Amino acid sequence: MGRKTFICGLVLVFLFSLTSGCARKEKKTETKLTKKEEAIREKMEREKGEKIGKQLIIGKGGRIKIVYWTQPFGTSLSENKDIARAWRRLYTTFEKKYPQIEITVEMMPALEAFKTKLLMAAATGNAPDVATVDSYWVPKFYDLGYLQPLGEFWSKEDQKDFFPFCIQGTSKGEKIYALWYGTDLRCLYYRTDLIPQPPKDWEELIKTAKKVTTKKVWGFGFPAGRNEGTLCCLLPYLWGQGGRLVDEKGAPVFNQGKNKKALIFILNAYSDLVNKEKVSPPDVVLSDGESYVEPRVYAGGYAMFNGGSWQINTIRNFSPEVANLWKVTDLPMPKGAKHSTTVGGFTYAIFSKDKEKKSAAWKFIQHISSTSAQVMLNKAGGGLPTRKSAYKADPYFSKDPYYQAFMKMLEYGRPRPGVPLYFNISEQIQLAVGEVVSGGKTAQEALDKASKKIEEEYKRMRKRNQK
Amino acid sequence: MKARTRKRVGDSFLYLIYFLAGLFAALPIIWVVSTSIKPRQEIFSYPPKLIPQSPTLENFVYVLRGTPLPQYFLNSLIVALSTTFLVLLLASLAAYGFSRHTFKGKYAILMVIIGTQMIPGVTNIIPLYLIMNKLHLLNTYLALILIYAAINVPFSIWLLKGFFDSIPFSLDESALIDGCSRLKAFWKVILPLSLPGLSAVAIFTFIASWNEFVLALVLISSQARQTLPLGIYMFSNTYQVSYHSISAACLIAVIPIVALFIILQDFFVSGLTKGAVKG
Amino acid sequence: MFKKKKKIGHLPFILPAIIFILSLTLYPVLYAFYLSFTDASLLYPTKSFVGVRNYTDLLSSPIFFAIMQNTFIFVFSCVFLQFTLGLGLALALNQKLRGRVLVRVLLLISWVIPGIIIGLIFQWMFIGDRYGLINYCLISLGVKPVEWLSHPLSAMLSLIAANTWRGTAFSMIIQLAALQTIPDEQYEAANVDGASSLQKFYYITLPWLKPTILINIIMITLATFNTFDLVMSLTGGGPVRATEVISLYMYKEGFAFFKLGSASALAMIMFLVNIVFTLIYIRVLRQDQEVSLV
Repeated sequence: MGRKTFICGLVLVFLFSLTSGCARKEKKTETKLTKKEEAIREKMEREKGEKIGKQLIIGKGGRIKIVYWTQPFGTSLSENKDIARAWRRLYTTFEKKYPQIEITVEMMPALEAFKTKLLMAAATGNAPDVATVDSYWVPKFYDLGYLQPLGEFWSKEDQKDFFPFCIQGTSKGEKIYALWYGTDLRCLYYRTDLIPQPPKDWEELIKTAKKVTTKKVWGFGFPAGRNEGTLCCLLPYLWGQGGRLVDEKGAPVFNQGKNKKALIFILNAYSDLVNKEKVSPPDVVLSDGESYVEPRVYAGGYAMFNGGSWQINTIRNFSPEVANLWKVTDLPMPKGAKHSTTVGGFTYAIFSKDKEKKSAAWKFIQHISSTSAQVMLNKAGGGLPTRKSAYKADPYFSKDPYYQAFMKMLEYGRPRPGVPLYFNISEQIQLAVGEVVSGGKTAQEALDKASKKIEEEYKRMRKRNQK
Repeated sequence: MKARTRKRVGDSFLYLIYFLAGLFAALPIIWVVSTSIKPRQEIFSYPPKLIPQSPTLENFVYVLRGTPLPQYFLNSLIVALSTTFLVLLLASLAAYGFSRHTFKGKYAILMVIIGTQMIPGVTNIIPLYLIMNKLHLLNTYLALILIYAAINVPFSIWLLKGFFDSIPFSLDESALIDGCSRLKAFWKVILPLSLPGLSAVAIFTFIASWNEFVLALVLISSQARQTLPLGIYMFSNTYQVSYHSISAACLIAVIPIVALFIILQDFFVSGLTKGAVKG
Repeated sequence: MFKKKKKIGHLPFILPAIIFILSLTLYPVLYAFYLSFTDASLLYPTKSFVGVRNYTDLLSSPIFFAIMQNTFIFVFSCVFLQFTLGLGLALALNQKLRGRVLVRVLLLISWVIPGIIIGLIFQWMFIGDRYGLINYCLISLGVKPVEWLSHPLSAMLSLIAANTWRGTAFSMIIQLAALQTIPDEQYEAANVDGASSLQKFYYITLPWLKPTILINIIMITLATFNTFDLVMSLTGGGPVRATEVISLYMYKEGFAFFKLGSASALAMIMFLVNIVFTLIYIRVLRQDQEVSLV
């Protein structure tokens, strides 16, 4: 019995330490701190790390209470200490400016599950007051009537500070439904120690990749799995060749004419990279996003990859030595095609219909998407600001060689089609990619299959909308 | 073959099974422990090392202080314990009723109850979400407790009924003759004899509630009520899967429970022997 | 036979549990049954009756059969492995050998980790071509590493391995409990008669365990059919649907595409499959013995 009592005691001690951790309340400092004290306090926080307690609440005790749904990496709970600190500072300044507003920040799981939860909640009237919404979901959400138009709060002048695609991608006619606060793009990453001169077009890409592929190093990596990242990295090739997924009315046209030709080229090219030229690993079809290449990058297993603009920051956080080997350039296009890239990113949108809460939510959104906020967050996180003024406000962006390249690429950046059907098209093309690369189907077959499903879905959608 | 040699061969064969089974069971756990003490920079190192170059406790510190994991742990504990208590109550009463009485339709009802175990887990999510929404129970402990109880009661009834069946009726009779009501007889006489069976039900229910993921995902949207499976799952996001944090969180979640079970294990195994597994 | 006292019948005992089950399990199933005949979707507020279209669409789709195939391979491999490993371990642990406690603890740990996390852990072990643990072990043994999760066959193997790892503990515990009910006299008598270990196993142990075996197999089958959190986090159904089992397919239909009607139809089909298999098992394993489940 002695051993058992001992274990019992250990368990109790353990449980006690856990629960006492969340029982302790967060102290709210009301006093103004001098600059020096502020600096010391920050240093201490940096060493200790944030202490969370039960829940993340900004401005506790405020009269107007709103609920904000977002993902942990976009809050002061981020594992990246710089991002966490930046958010902490934003929260503190917001608390001081608007003490009457209390915001409960709820953490949501990874993207697919988040989308499900948000849709279910909105469909049953349980939506949060404000939330982070991925840019390509916005059309589906405002189509269903869940989002509140922001026009009454957001001046047209301020809207002009944002890139045009940010405004167009979240608007329907004159009404704008979400604030696109951060963006990213896809580009070619290449290792300067293996490849002195990056390839300028698709044929050169294959040649270069073949030259550098060895037993330990794959020539070219790219996502081809059942995930949105696959589309983001694939669409530039389609758009560069002048193709498109849907027409102006939103009808699917990807399996017709020029578009079909372009897609067949892409699917075959992907398959060749893996199966014929063998410069890409077969597990590209298992990718769960652009980040899937990273482990191999750290192990030195890639010479080039098609990836997201934020990834150089992630790699630098893991190992500056590894990061120093990599440079970025435009994605190589098939002969005759123009440069293109997919711009993605997240937006803030308001769900609540209550006047007071809407206004409070807007104040929060405005605060965390201001020029200075965008500068601070993107410097820490490696994202791309959506305000033109942000790039001018801090010399960091114009001095950093990666950002220099990104800024140029932004000029030909293009967002995904803002139509609700895009969800389905994306899924079908992901499947088609997989079937061609690892399923042995021809590009034609795969595309026809995809197109058939989309046509059915489109018909159903039209019927419902007519009701 | 001589009997002693036969026994030696038999024993070494058994030890081989042991060893291989132990290795198979332990490998992921060893890897989890190893990953949990690695700093972020080492988790993708090649060649992968079992013992990191610079072992650290920073993952545990981050998980305990920098995330709401302690709250998730508490929530899971509250939900699992409450569910267990509720199931014990409902199932033991029902099992006793089925065991000690015969009535029309008894077997039919039992079949229906046990048949509910065959309903695929994912089926009921939407209807349950809608029900809980109507009852304004979304995002509460109660929603999870009620649903988990409903899921676990059928199996528990079946288990306990078999157990009660093996307890001779004469015990009930003597209690009733002494003037006890049915309920009192149940409470005073039968239950104390059934502790092993009840422990078995308790542990099955506890673990089932502890591990449940989908319903918690759909019904809970607030930190204050989130349970562990979803909490740990949130360490994997769009941009990366934080294997080191997941490993640390996993260990923190698992170790107390396992310790508790070691203490109760004697009860548990003997609980299954009596009647529960009888035909 | 005891006379029923008029004071308290059986109802107060069984009613609370029944109300619970009816309202929170049966009623939702009936609602799902109703939904399966509509085109309900989370994306649209209205739904309309479409008869059996969901069912015919599903049953005539080649994807459905591929998925059923995956599911059967997955389920039966797991049933076989979990059962035999569980039985073997139970037999081993029934002897008074050293190290029992450690093996039990390890199995316990495997049982207590949520399925979704086990998927992540195994993904971490099988991932990549060189830095995953499994491949590293292979390389150290001089074997060529395998890209486990990128090929249909190896992905399925990884999935089976992960699910077996998780489920064997339960199987073992049930068998062990049953083994401990076998009275020693039976074995002693057999020893007197000079029976070998194999004979003892076949003529004493197995028959005694028959009811437990039935229950065990039924439970593993049902549990594995319904498993999807582990599949979701380990492979997500990939590569290209090679490991997509029916429960995952149902989840995706309902929650990634929000096609509630279709997902409910799938659920009904799964329900039917579950019942059919349970009945088959009972028929096959019952044979001449008076094995009643209740």
